[in-house]
Amino acid sequence: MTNFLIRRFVQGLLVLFVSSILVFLLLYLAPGGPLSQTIVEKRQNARFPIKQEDIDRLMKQYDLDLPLWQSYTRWAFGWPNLPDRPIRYGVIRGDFGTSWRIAPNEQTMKVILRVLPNTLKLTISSVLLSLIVGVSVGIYSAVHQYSKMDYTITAATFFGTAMPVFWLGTMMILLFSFKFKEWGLPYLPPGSVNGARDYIVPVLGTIQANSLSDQFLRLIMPTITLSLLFMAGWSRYTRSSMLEVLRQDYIRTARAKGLREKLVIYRHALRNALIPLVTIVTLNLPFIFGGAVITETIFNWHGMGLVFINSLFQSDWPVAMTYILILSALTVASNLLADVLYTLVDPRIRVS
Amino acid sequence: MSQKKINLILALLVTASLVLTACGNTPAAPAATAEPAATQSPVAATEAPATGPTLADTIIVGAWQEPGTFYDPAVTQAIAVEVELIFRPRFVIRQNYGYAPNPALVEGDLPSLDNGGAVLNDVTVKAGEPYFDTATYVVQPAAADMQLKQLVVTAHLKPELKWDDGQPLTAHDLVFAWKVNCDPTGTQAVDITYCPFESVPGASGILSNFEATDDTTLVATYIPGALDATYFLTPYGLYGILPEHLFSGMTAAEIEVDERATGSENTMPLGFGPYKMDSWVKGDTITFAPNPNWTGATPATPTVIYKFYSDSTSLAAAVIAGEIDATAGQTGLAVDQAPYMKSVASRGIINYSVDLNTASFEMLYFNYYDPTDTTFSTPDPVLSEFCVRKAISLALDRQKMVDTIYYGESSVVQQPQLPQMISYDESLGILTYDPELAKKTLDDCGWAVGADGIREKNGVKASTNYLTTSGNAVRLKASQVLQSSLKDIGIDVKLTYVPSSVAFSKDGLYGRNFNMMQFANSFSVTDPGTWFFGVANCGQIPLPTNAFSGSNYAGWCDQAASDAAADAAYLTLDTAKRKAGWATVLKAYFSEGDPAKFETGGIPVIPLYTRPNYLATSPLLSGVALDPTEYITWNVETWTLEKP
Repeated sequence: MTNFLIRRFVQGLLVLFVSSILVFLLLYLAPGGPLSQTIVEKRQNARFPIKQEDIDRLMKQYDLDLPLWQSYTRWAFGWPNLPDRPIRYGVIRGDFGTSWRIAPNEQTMKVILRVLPNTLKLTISSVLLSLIVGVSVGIYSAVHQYSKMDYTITAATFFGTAMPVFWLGTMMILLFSFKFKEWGLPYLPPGSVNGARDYIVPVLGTIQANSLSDQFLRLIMPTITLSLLFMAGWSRYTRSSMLEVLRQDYIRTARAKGLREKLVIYRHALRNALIPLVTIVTLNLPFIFGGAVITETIFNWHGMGLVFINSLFQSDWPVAMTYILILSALTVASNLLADVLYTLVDPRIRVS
Repeated sequence: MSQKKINLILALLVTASLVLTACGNTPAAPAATAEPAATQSPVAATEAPATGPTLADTIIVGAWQEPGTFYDPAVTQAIAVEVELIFRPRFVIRQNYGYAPNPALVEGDLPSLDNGGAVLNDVTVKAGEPYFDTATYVVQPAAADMQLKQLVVTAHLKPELKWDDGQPLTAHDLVFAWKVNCDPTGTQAVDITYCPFESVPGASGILSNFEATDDTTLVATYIPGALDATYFLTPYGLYGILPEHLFSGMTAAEIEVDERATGSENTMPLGFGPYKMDSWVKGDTITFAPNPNWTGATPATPTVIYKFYSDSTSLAAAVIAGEIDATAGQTGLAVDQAPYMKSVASRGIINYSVDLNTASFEMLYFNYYDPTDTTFSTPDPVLSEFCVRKAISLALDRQKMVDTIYYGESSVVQQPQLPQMISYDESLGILTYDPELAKKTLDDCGWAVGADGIREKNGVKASTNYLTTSGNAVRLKASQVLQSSLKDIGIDVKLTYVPSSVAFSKDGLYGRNFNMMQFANSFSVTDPGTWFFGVANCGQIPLPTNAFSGSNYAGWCDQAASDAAADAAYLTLDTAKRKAGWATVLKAYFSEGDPAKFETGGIPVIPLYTRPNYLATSPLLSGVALDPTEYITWNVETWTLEKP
C-alpha cells in the first residue's frame, strides 16, 4: 500500500508539472491577451489614444516580451531574475503571481481564496441535496423496479441529465423570481450570494439583506439547478447498484431468515450498494472546490467558477492559471483518495 | 388519491410550469422603427417627485464588471470611471459636450484666450531645448535659437476644498498626480501624451510644465510652438488626482501597488465628492455614504451602492426583479436584450430608454496600399481606386446594419465625424445608399462582372479582406451585412476576426496589416482637430520608416486637405479659420482628387453608425439622465428613489 501511494504521488507530481506547461502554453499561445481590453478602452479615447510605445511598456510589465520558455520558468520556478523586472519566486515556492485585471497587483491565491466560502456553500449544499434525493430515489426505483413510479423517475432523471443548466437556471429565474413576484406569490431573489438591501416577500415578510434567511432564499435556485444533474446521475448509479445487490445470495438469505424488508434494504443492501457511489462522490472533489462556472454565472454567485470565467474574459492569465492548477491538483488528489477509500470501504479489494 | 398520483401530478405541474415559462414572454420581433420612442440626448432627467412619496435611503446601481483599481493614472476601465465619479466628481462638467466648471470645485470660468485664463507668450527657444515643430508636428530639440509662441493656461480651484479624510485638497494634488504619471518607475500608467519631453522614454508630450503656484492656482505651460484646442481642460487633472499628503516622497512604482491608491476591502481610496467610499466587498458591492467634508449640495439619497454582476443577463434579471435600481452604459445591458427589456418596460415593471446621440461611432477604414508589400509602396489592386471605395460607400446598407444590429435604435453617420462636431456641415456632402449607382460606378471605371458574379479589371478580381475584432456580436452582424451588400455589387469580401490585442497591434491596425478594418472611436469633445489631422495629414501615414507612428492608416494624401487639417489642429486657435480648414478636408474627402495620383482620392474611411447607450431603471427612480459625454453617475447626488 505504501509503495502504491508513493508511486501514485510521484505520478501525480508529474501530471501537475505537465499540466502547468499545458495550461501556460494554452493561455500564452491563445489569441488575445491581457492588453486587449486596455487597448480597446484607450483606443476609444480621442484625447489620449494609446501608442505603440505604451503597449511595449505594458508588455514588459507582464513579461510578455520575453521568450515563451523564459516567461514559463519565471512563473513556475521564479527563474531567471532579470534586471528592471520584479523578482518572482515561482509557483513552486507558492508565488502564483499577481492579478493583472480582476484585482490588479493582488496575489491570485488571495483573489481565489476570497470566494472559496461562497463556492463551498453552493457546492456542498448541492452535493448534499443530490445525495439525499438521488440515493433515496435510486433506492425507491430499485425496490419498486418497473413500477409506474420507477418509470416516472427514470424519465425525470433523463430529463434532468439532458436539460442544459443555463436553460433551467434562466427558466427558474423567470418563473420563481419574475412571475411569482408579478403574481404576488412568495418569490425567490434572482441571484447573488446576498442582497444589498432589505426586501419584502409575500407570506415571509421583510427579509433583511445579508441575513440568514436572505442567504438561504438566494441559495435555493442555484442549489436546485446544480443538483438536478447530480441527482439524476447518482439516482441511476444507486438504482443499478441496488438492483445488483438485491439479487445477491446474502440478500436472499437475509429475507429467508425473516428479517423485515426495511432492515434488508437499509442494513444489508444499501451499505454494499453505496460502495461505487463513494468513488463517484470522491471524484467530485475538484467540483466541490472548483465551483460551477455556468450556474455561478447565471445566478451571479460570486464563487471560484465565476472568478475563473471572469479571468478568462478579461485575459487575467495569472488568476486563470492558478485556478486551473488548483483544480489539477485536486483532480490528482481526489483520484488518489478514491483509490484509497475504495480499499477501505470494500475489504475484498486490495491494491496489488 | 394515492401518494403516487399526487407525486406524479406535482412533478407534471412543475415541468409544465417550466415549459410554459420558457414559451411565454417571447418578445415579438421588433419593428425597426416602432416600439417605445428612444429618448434623444441629452436625455432630460426625470423630474424629482413633488412632495408626498417617501424616499428610500439607498439606491443600488448594477454593472457587469467591477473596477480593478482607483489609481487614477492606470484607470482605463469605463466602469472604474463611472464609479469614481460618485466620490471624485469632475472639475469640469461635460454635460452634452457643454464643458462648464464644477461650481463646487472650480473658481470662476474655464480659462480661455478671451478671459485671459490662457495666454500666448512670445518666448525664445534656445538650441537644444524642445519645441513643437510645425513642419513635422512632433516635439524635438531646436537646432538653433528661435522665437515661438508659448501657450500658458491658468486655472483656479475653490479655496478650502477637502479630501474626505478632512485634509486640504489643493492644486498640488493635481500636479502630484501628473508627476506620478510621468514618473518612469511607474508601470501602470498607460499614457504619456502630456508628459514633458523625454521625461519618460518615448514621451514626446506637449506640456513642458504643470505647476501649482499656490494652493488653488494651477498653471499648465505648453512646449513652445504647441497649440491645443482643448487647452481649457488641461489644468484640471490630466491624469486624475492623488492625495499628496498620503503619497508624498513615494515613487510611482510604490504608489501603484499601495492599497490607499488602488483601493481594497480594507482601505478606501480618498475622494472629495458628495459621497465617500464607505466599503468595498470585492466581487459584490461598493457602498458610498455622504462625505461630511463636501461643500456642495447634500446628496438627496444617503447611500448609493454599486453592485456587480456576472454578465448582462444576470444584470437584466436584477433590474427586472427590483434588486437594483439602475444600469446603463458599457457595463450595462447588451444590445440583444433590447427587445425583451422593452417588453418588460411596456408592462411598467421598469423604465427603459435608449440614447442615440452617443459620442461614439463605428467606422470602416480602407488601406490604399497592399499590406503584403512591407514598404507600403504598392497600391492595393482593388481598394486604391477611388471609384471602388465610392461604390462600396454607395452599396453599404448602413440602415440595414442599424436595423439588424440595434433593432433600429441607432443612427447612420453621414460624414466621417459625429453630427455634434463643430465642423459638421452636410452642405459639404453626405454618404448615401444607392446600390444601382454603385454598380454603375464600378462599370464606368472598368470593373466588369465576371462569370462567377465577381467583378474583374485587368485580370484582377474585386476580392478583398475585412478585419475586425473577434468576440463582438455587434461587429459580427455588421460584417455579415457588409459582405452581403458588397456581394450584390460584385465585390467579394473575406471576413477575418482577430482579438483586439491583435487587431490593434503591429499585426493589425498599427502595422497597417489590413485591407478593410472596422473599429470605433469615441469623442468626448466636439473639436475634431486631432481626429481630422490623424485621418488626413500626409505626415501621419504610419510607415516602417517612421516606426508606424501616426494614424492616417489609409495612406490618404491630398496635400490641400493635409495642410488644412494640420493648420486647424496645431497652427491656430481661431475657430473661423479652423472651420474653413475642416471644410477643405471634407470637400477633399468626398472628391476623387488627382486621377493620376491614387493616394489623393477621398473616402479613406466610411462612417457606419453610432453606438447607442441603454438605460434601465426602476420606475421609482428619479433624476437619472443619459449624456453622450458622461457616465450616468455624473449627477448621482440628485437621484431619489421612492419607496414602493
